[in-house]
Amino acid sequence: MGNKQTIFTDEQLDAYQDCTFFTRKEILRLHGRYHELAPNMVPMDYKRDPCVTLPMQLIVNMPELKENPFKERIVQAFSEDGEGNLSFNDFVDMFSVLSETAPRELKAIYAFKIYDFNTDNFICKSDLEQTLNKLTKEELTEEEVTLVCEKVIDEADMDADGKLGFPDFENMISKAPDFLSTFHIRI
Amino acid sequence: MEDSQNLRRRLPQHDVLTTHPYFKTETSPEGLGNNQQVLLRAMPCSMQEKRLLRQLNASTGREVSSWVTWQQGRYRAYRQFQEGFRNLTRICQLWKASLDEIEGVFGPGIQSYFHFLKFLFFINFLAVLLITGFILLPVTVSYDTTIFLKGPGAGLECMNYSRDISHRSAWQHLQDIFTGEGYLEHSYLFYGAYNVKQDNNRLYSVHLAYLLSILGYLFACFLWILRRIVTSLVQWLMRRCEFKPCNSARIFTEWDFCIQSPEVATLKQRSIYNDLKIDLAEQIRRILKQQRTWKQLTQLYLLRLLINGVILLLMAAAFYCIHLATEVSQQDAASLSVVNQYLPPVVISIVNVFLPFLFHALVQLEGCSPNTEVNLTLVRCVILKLSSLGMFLFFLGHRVLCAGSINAPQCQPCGYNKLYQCWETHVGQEMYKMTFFSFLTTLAFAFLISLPRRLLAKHSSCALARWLGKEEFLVPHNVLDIVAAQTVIWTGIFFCPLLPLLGCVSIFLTFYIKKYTLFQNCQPSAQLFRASHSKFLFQTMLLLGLFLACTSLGYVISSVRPSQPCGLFANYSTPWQVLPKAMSHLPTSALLIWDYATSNVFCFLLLMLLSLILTVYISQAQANRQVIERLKRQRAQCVQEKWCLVKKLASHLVHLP
Repeated sequence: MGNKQTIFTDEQLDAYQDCTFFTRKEILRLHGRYHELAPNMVPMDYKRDPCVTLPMQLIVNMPELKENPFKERIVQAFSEDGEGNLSFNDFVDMFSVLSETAPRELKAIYAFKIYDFNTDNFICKSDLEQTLNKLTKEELTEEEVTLVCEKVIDEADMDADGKLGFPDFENMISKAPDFLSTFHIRI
Repeated sequence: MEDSQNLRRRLPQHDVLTTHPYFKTETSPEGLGNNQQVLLRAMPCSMQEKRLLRQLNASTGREVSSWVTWQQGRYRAYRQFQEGFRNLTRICQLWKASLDEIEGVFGPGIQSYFHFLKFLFFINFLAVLLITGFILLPVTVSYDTTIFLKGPGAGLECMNYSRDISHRSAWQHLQDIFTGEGYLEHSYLFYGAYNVKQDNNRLYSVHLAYLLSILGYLFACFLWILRRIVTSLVQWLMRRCEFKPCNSARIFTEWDFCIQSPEVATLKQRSIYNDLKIDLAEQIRRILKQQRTWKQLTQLYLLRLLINGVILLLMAAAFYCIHLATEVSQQDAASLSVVNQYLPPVVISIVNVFLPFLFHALVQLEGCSPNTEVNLTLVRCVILKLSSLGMFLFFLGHRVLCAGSINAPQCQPCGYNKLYQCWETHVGQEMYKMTFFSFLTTLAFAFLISLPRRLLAKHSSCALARWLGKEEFLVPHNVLDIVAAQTVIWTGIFFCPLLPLLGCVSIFLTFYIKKYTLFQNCQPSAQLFRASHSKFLFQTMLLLGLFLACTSLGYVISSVRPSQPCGLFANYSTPWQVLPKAMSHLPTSALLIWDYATSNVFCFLLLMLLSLILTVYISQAQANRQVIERLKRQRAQCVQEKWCLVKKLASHLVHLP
């Protein structure tokens, strides 16, 4: 399978193998998925590293992401420009971090980025409220949302600044053993 | 050099990055080698940056010795080899596609049940391999097994075992499949068929192999389960959080990113909403609890005591029913119908279906939080199931082995109840019946209860249909069923060596039956079972089952007189005697070493050493806990210091001209 493909050079495939948690076969399969999102925009020949990015709307309609309440944030967190336009590199990167074999620390870093809605490197109260509303599709009342957010900050904030920095978030995540199995997309 | 400086300025300002080991490359010598490969893919930067870093480190600057290049090449080759190997050994990925499908639709909680089924399949498969390799093959290949042995000093009453099956009718032959009599009774399925003459000249002693392979297999199971418990125990201990309870992490870890179907997504969102509501209600409950008066507390405790007493009474009543069923089924076996013979498994199943309903109703009165209610009911069900099995074994032993009534008239001549001339085969038959019955129950539940329930819910709108609804797949109770079945297999392995084969087949079929039930007849449960502490729970249940099996087996091997007209151990007073007899043939030096190793002094010294090691570990754990507390306080202080300094700086800057 490895010597017959014409999409990437061997050197490129090696680079992808070193930089992600995927094998050669999986990378080729990912390219297939990327291509079928927009067959007229994505070239089949990637040997010269073409600069093609797909808009967010195409990516969030993928079956793996469609039902996820955080799909826009996920795509934005992995895009270079922060707007949600993913090149193939970013696409592979995204699924590599969300794959089964990625370590907990790496996933925690990106989870933090995803849940940080205002991208100020802190998960503040408004970020928490937005997370909660997306999770429950805004079915909780305002006081309940406030109560839960206050409880989260109370339990997780270690340095008493009223918001969650990355160390607080990572510490909280390390006590939740479900994290590795839920923060995982199979593709 | 310039590029890497540029790169560092462009990377996001996470603290973690500046302390990431990859950036310590300047200080550490060339030995990164394949570590570099490993760290690169775990770096939190975009793909472009990672490829740039890779290029930088491959081409410029550092002196990469040929040793490092060789290591890198070797690592890459190893990964290719792993990929090829994995393609070849797809057999170990048994059911992988099905497991993925189940996880995608129903979540990791229900998938953990099927994962557990796969684990049990492999455990039984191991038993089949060991028994076939060490016992069955040697016996069939090289021994003459038609010799009927006569033990020393045995009267005629103990040698009255007939192997004649010619007078059985066709109808009886059909029934024999269910009861293990007739043709099956004298086949290699049961202990009674392994009649091998004791021959000291042969190198391979089948008697020793039989005993040691079974004991070795049970020990291997114990180690395997223990290893799985320890890995999940470590996680559970970390979760126990001596610091602050961290239930709030759930809002970040609850959503399963694997969900693809809209119905499951809606259901998940509902369950998250319910969980949060329950949490808020729990908070209010806790506040109310603080305000309970002494009188209310004593009332509550008395009520709890009463309920536990009622539960004990119910269990005692259940055990009495099992006792009666055992007595009825153990009457003169030749004239019993199939239904009568299956009475104990039927009664045990009925008990284990109805009593949990009562437990569930009673626990509502105890005034606990919903989580505690669920856990308490589960613990009670586990105790009920395993102790009903234990009681059945006890009553059986009392009847067949004369445990406790050795002076009764039917027990005197042979050392066991002379009605059962080949009692091991008889006990093996009971275990066979239980295993067969548990498989039949699985089938019956799937087709006779779940299917009609689904059809009723789908096509009728009467009040009953709406109340019943579609069945919910309750993971803990299903797991309890298969743990009980596995306990029976482990207990029966000595009397019915091919029982694990039956177990393998039944587990294989159960997987597909349960999968069918799940997809066709069940709705995802609103009370989504957490995958994290389920592994610990399942393995603990299995360990308890293993202990039960080992206890009964230990009693049989060390204290019961084997039957005389059949089997491998007819000439020994207990099966355990094979070992000392075999060891007496060893050279003197080996015997001397063995004597030393089992002497009291050596065991005492070993115990002392182990206690010492344990003390070291415990004190280290306590010291670590204190260090963690100290560091926590230090971290909060650091941030406060930082803000103090900022304020000071700001006030100085204001005063500058």
